[in-house]
Amino acid sequence: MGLICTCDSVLPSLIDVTCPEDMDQVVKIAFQLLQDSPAFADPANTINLVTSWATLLAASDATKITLSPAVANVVIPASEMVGSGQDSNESVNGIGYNLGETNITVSGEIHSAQQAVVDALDELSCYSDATLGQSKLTAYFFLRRIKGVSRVMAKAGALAGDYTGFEIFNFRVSSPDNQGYNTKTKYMWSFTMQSDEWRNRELVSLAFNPLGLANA
Amino acid sequence: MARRKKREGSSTSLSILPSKIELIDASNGNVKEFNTDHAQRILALQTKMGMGTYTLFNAELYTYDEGSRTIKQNIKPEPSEGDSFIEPS
Repeated sequence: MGLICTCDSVLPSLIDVTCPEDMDQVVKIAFQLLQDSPAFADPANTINLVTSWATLLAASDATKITLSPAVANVVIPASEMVGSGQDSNESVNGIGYNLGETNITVSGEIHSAQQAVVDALDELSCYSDATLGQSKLTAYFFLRRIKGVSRVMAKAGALAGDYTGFEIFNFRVSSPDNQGYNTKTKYMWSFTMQSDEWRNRELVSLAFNPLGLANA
Repeated sequence: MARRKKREGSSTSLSILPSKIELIDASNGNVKEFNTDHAQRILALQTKMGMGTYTLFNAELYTYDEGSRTIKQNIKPEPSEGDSFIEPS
């Protein structure tokens, strides 16, 4: 919801869907500390090239990127309206007020992970603590490879080719979920994002398969 | 009887490397300069991934050794008249 004082006198032009775009399945997540400047930028560090990712995966400073294991059952839920006063005396004509959107909690699972894998993931909690209002942690979403093309979902910057991760809060990993005979041991993870964090999202086709990326 | 034997060049590693090393991004031909330890980590990682496309820019001067995960300097013997020599029989 845009909290603006005045609207333009002419309606904005809406845009037709000429090329359908779906996120499809998230299969891996890359984490990076919040950057002062775009982590990926053309032409020096183009996001769609494996060398750019290798550079950041091998970094030993604040630009370092680290990868989750393959993730399953990832769900990015829609935000919901936060309203008040509907059908009551609290609003004019009882229509109610649109006050904004809820934050969202992205969730998923990691399967068959060794404890060391889970422990390492759990360390991300420290960087995404919401207590100070600004998370230090950002995330990029790698999407399922379709027709030989992999994509990453990232947050576009001011200049074409500039990308950063999405700011995420309160990352956590659950205790193991074990249902016994012939089942996979699962760990549930989740983090919270502000609803407007998606505003500048872009899906970028990659020149490589991100499932082949490895942590340093 | 004497026979001529070609002296073979050898590669020796030195512990002294420059602080920065240039790598070529084969996907676009760009040359990028990295701190040497970062360059070594990049080369080690791309070996692990088997999908990297960085190569050493000064390949005649440096070699990446996968075993030790380090960049080594190539030291070639000084060219001289003794490039070939007589080996006593």
